[in-house]
Amino acid sequence: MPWKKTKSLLEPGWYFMQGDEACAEGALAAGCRFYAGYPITPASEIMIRMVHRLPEVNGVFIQMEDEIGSISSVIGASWAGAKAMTATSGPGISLMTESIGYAGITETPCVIVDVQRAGPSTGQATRPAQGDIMQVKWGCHGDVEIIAFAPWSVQEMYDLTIKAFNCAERFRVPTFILADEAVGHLRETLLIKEEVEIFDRYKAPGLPPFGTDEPNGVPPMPAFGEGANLLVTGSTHDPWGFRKTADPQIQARLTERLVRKVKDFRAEILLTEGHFLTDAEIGVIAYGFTARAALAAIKKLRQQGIKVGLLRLISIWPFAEEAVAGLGQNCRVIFVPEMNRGQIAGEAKKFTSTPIIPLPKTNGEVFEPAEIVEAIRRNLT
Amino acid sequence: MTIKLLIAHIIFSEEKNLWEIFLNCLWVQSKMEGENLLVEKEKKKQVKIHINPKWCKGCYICVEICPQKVLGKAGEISEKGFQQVVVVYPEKCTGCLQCEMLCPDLAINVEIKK
Amino acid sequence: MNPKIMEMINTQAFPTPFCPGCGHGILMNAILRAVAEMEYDLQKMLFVSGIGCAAWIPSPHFKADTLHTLHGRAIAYATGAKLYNPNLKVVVVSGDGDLSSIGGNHLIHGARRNIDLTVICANNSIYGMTGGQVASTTPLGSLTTTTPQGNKEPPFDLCRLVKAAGATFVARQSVATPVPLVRTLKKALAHVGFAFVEVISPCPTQYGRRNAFRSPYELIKYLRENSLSAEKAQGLSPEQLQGKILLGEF
Repeated sequence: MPWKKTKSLLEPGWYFMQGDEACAEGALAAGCRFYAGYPITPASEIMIRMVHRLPEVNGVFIQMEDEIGSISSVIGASWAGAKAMTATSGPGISLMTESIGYAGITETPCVIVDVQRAGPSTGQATRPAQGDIMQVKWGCHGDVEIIAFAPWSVQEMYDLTIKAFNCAERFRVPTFILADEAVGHLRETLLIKEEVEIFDRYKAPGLPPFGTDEPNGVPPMPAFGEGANLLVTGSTHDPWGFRKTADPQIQARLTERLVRKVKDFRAEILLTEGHFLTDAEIGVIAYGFTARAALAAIKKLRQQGIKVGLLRLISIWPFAEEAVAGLGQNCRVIFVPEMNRGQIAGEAKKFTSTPIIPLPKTNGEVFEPAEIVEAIRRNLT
Repeated sequence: MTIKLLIAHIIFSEEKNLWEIFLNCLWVQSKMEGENLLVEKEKKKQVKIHINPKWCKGCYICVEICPQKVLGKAGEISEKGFQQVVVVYPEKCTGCLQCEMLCPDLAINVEIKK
Repeated sequence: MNPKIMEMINTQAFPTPFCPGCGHGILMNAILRAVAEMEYDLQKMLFVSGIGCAAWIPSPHFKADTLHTLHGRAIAYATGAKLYNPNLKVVVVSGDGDLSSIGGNHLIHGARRNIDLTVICANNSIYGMTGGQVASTTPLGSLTTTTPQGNKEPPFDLCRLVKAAGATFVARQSVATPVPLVRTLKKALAHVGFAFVEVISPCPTQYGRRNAFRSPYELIKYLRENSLSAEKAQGLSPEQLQGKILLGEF
């Protein structure tokens, strides 16, 4: 069975840690033994933690010449058998985008942490934002069904990074942690449990590594040096990896399986949290650091007698369509506060006909609960 | 050493010293004998040239590069749209392997039997 | 032919997609012979390539682990694989534009790190796969689709570039002289550290046709007549060396 329980790397107990540091610890706990990175605010702390910790666990660290080099060596190491990770911010994701597509079509498990900052472009390097939601999903050309999680606390920076590695290995797909500068640089308490549950990639020598009989299957993944004569390529390929750049059937089969292998099994990935939803007439969808302010705002509004509830998205991609549709059925209006110009608000509109009111904030600062309370109250009159 | 060689040297060489001429002849003689031996060895090599018609693309590098002009074109266009390469003078092949090494398609195999 | 060679290739991928007379085909031939003569176990070798005709030398023709990556990124991918599993024998085979233009940064950093890789640069002085555009290695004055008036940009001397960056084995050979080519490839494969071999590997279809070489043989003949070893070049003047290709180790 590819699921197994192992002892946590750190002694179980309470810690006081920075979000970025907790993310690095989560990766190590999940079995990450290769890190390649390039300095970028506000993600450099993850790299610094890794350079000290990886040698302690016989892992490999390298600072590459740029972000493209980072993601490239992560993919190379993944095919050499490693659970591999890199961390960056918006500008780095822009550079890595081509390789993310490559990881998609070659079905390479890897984890990419995006500690989002105010953009676009260089923007405000030390200020939080949530502007990369669509980019990680649609940045690379073509259809790649990436997986992404948005942590709202230091605890989640640890736990969701572990989940990200497990998803990457289970679905053989690049997986993202959509953090932001606020949660990345936040210091909070973190509870490390005795054990960690981790998933290792499926192995089956002799079976094709790039195709399955099922239209939505995940093939086994050999590593270099195991005698599999791997034919890894970014061109469209048959189940054994031979390039088939003119065959319509193979292109159709491959592109459909790459999407279905994640979408058909999204029940294993989707993670949402509901607060005060049972009798809510007004809905709020929030994620990441913003959800903290949203929850405080909900509580305040409830005290004022307004029947409002919060749907917190923990997994961002695949999108929690059913949860949003369900929220829409019960509520007469849905507010979406986010630190961008309405990226999740736009996505939510696809799945419910309930009016969606985006509450965008892009001044490089996080939401305060009072702002959300004020915005909701203003819109209700 | 042959008398012919000695006389030729005396007539044509710029060297006027007879002892030097004698030494030159000795040197030339040994070189010729060495080469004769080499030619003898090469004559003893039995070579068979195999050309894979499925892999050959008719680039004719082998035809032009062969120092002995062993290979040539078939004379008629094959169904692949070009003249196939054929072995024309197999007996002239010295087994130098230039054709095999310069074939971009691994289509030539020069079998050398010792 | 070394009988091992037929076992080292995926015969179902032959005949190759290379053009008739492609220098890269001759280089593929030479790499196979070098590996066979060194008696390496192909199963323990990893060939990493970028995008372009040269990148198709190992993929899918070699029966080893092959990693066909993105344009210019082969050395970065190879770095990750080699660092994680140092037991792999990693060889990068890619083109001149791929390695020195879009991939230039990874090339110089790989050399600087002296990472244990063998990098074989198949230099055809042009971007062949996309129809014959000028590359960072195209000679001055050459006609290409993006230099219809003749190339005005001086080309790289790849060996000097990589040597300056820190590579510990740098050599240039040509497919026109396959015996010294195989000899140098074997030395490069045996070298521990960053070994760079620039192989002049002409493109008859995109470069040759546009620059008055009417057949693949004419390109081979030109190379034979215009290359000389670095030792022989030492006594010669710059005028004598004009247009000559220097071969050997640097």
